[in-house]
Amino acid sequence: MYLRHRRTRPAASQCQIHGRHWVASLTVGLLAGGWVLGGCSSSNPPAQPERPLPRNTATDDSGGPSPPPRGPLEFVDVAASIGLQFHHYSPLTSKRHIHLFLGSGIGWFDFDRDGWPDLFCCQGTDFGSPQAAAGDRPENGHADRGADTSGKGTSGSATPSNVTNTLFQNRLGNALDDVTHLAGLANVDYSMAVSAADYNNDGFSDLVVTGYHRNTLYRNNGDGTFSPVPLPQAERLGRLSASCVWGDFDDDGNLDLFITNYARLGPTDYPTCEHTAAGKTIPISCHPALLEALHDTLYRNTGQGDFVEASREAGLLLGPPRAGLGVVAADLDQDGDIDLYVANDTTENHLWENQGQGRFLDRGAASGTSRNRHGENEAGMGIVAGDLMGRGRIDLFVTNYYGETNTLYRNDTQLFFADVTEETGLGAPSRLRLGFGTSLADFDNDGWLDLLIANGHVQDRLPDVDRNEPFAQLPLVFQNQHGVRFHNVSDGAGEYFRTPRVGRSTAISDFDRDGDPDVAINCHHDAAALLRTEAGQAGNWLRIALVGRESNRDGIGALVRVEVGELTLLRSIQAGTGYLSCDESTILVGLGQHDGPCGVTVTWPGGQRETWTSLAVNRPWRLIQGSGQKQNVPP
Amino acid sequence: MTDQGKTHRQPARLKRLIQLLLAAAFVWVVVATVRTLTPPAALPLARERVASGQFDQAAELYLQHLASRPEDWEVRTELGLVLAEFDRPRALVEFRKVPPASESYLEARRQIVWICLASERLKEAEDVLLELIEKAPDDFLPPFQLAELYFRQRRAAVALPLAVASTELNPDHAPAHFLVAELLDDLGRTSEMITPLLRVIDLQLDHYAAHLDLAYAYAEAGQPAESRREAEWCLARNPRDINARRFLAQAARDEGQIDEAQREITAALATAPADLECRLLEAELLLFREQEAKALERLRPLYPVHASDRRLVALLARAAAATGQAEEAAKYRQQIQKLSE
Repeated sequence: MYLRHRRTRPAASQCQIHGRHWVASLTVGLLAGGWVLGGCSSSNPPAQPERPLPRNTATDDSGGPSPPPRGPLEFVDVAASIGLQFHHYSPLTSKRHIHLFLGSGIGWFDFDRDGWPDLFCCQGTDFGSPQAAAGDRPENGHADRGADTSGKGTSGSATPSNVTNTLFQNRLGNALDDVTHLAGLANVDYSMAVSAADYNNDGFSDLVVTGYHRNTLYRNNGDGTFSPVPLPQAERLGRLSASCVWGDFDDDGNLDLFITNYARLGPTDYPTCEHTAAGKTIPISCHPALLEALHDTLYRNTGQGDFVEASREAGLLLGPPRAGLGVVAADLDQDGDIDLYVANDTTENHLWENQGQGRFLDRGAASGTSRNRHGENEAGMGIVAGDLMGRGRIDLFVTNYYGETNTLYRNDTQLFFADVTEETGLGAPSRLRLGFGTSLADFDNDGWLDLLIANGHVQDRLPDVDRNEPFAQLPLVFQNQHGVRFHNVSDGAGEYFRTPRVGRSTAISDFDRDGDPDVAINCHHDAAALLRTEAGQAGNWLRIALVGRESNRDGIGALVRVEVGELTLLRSIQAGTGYLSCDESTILVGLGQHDGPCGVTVTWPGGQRETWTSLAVNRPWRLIQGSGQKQNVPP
Repeated sequence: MTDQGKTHRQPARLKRLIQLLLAAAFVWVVVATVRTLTPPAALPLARERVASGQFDQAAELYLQHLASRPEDWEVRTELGLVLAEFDRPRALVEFRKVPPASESYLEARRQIVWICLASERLKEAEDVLLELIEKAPDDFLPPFQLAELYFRQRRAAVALPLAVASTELNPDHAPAHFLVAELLDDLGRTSEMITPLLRVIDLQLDHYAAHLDLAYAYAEAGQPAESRREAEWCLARNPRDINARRFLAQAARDEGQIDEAQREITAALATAPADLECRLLEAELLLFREQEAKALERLRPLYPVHASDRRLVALLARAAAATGQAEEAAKYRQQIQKLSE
């Protein structure tokens, strides 16, 4: 253990003293007419008054007589009022099959091109394996905990028929309507991740959904409906895929697809595990080392509307497979091509440097991002990539396991990164949490990217063996203080941040177009949340949508630099981020108090640069590649 | 009866009285002589010798007593205790003779435990402790001792429930709470150390080791303010404690006070220039400030001694890479890989 100091062992010595010096006791005892042998208690000082325990920041719900403090960032859950009626369904089995713990993703994308971002929620399902059929039914206790108030889920029974991935159409920021069946997106699989992008450059965002056994690509037909598109090896029994990202890795103008794979969990040989402690044996989800990890998958877009599997040619099959969860795609070294960074569970993270033409080399170890500062592997879950330090480079932030810290890797250029977690204040608050989803957004529009993290354990029964590691945990939100320090402002961020939940995926969008970013959260076997940012004194902003012509149409992978006085803010366009999720591809850039026109330079995938000037603040802008055109677009 | 007759009988009574007195005196003289000539009983003497610290003589007297009463198990237990002061193997022999049916049996077994623990006869200690736990379930000491034995053998997972049970049997026994904390640390449950350590301090306000461990546990639990408080408590009593100073530096770093952290770690290194933990923290601070060359220079001399310390090697790899020492960085990365396999 890193900080363990060399301690003396007073416990041993204190009691042995009584044993060795028994003669004194014996003598006294004899004179008093009796024996006094051994025993440590006789010399104990009287007990002191009970000292109050410190607040357990991991589990404390902050309930108390005084009103909660108001912080610089505040959020209100408007899911119920706006019609977001989604309840994730993932009842645990008595054997605690691991995929049922991992949750599902959530993503924003404007499927109908009305300018209002729509929301896609990935859904779980009962474990439908032969074991389940043989009677390994969901446990009532757990299912009851997240009992569905909308009738979607019932405990201890088969999956209700209306439990499915759900597409919510955004009605002018005032309501979210379930249009799943109309869109043709209903399914019965256990879904994991979602990522949206216009892979066929027709102007309409398409969708990929990963899951257990099957990954599905949906083409947006442009009429409000979607059609499944064949994907090579889309179905593979027992494969549990996780996050996915879009990126033009071979720089041909077409978006390719990268999917992380977690493990093979065959229905007939699904590994299950137990843990014995404190005289009890409990079923637990297995450690990843006990699972058969799988290599990740890269699909190359042919430009003809289909995909070929290109993992081997891309170099992704070199080295042993690792249990992949989160992934981001961005030009980390700013050399004009899109690199990949993958969070692997308990093994080294991958940093796939794009060598050009979509051939990758793992630079995780060399870059300092495969392990933490101590050279230890961590259990990577979610990732975000963005200019957290305000130095014009893409930094990486990874959520990790309980007892580890989340890790912030500062980009020191040349593809070298430095773990600066502790120094920036992100270490301490994360030690007693298990981080999953994470999102980057400038919630107060001050020009600095803030961080939000959803937490929740992957073991629900540790308290049964006297382990103080709660299943439901509090989420965290940090305000970025000029790239030097991340201030934990969770306590004052609203009721949602004072209620423990089994948090999983998070996704960002200014869904109500009020000029600040909001967050959708999909929790494990629980109701989804939509946190509207209440930024009373927020700064000015620009909303920027890119339209690629030579590049992919959504401008996925582009770097956007916004000149704000003497500052240059760097933002990157990504399709797939955090954990199993995707943010809206239109970006919102906070400008602080800057209210004059801004200049924007876009580095398109491939390296081409283009500059626009005089963009007025607090307006949405569409920047079209190669035309010099900027359109002020509603809403 | 005449007065003359009365006068005649008086001398006879006096004579009988004198005879009685003489007889009594004789008996007294005989008894006194016998008492003087007969040596005193061994047992009380033995106990007197114990009180005056003459253990070898006491042992001989106990043996005299036991020669005539070999089944006086209480006295045999006393003998064992006396022997334990100067001849543990013989003491062990005497304690082992005490049969289960004796009232002294459990006490003898407890003494066997002490001797076995002190003389590293750990297997026998373990067996006897298990027996005591079964036969004296309300005694907090055997589970504590067995937990400590397992702790020494690095069997923390087995030890923890025993230590916890001991604290439940005697909540006021500070060493058991401290042991629980140590075991939690061994099990990687560092943040959970806080509760038992606070209990130790409740019981023994000035328990230095508990305060120092609390500084460590709070740091690991992500509570730098509390870690700082405990480290400062320790430093107020022992300003040269480099562990406490390092915790203070770490707390300062975690609170974003990088200058203060650097000052404290420099002070710690002035006391112990070769302390690895302090050097590592110093290097982390230098790397954070992008002073990679300086970090590399400070870390390099540690490598020959601590090449198997992954934290050191990881920092060296980072510093070497950042200063363009590609070959050196590759060497360290290979070493990390080797250490991970």
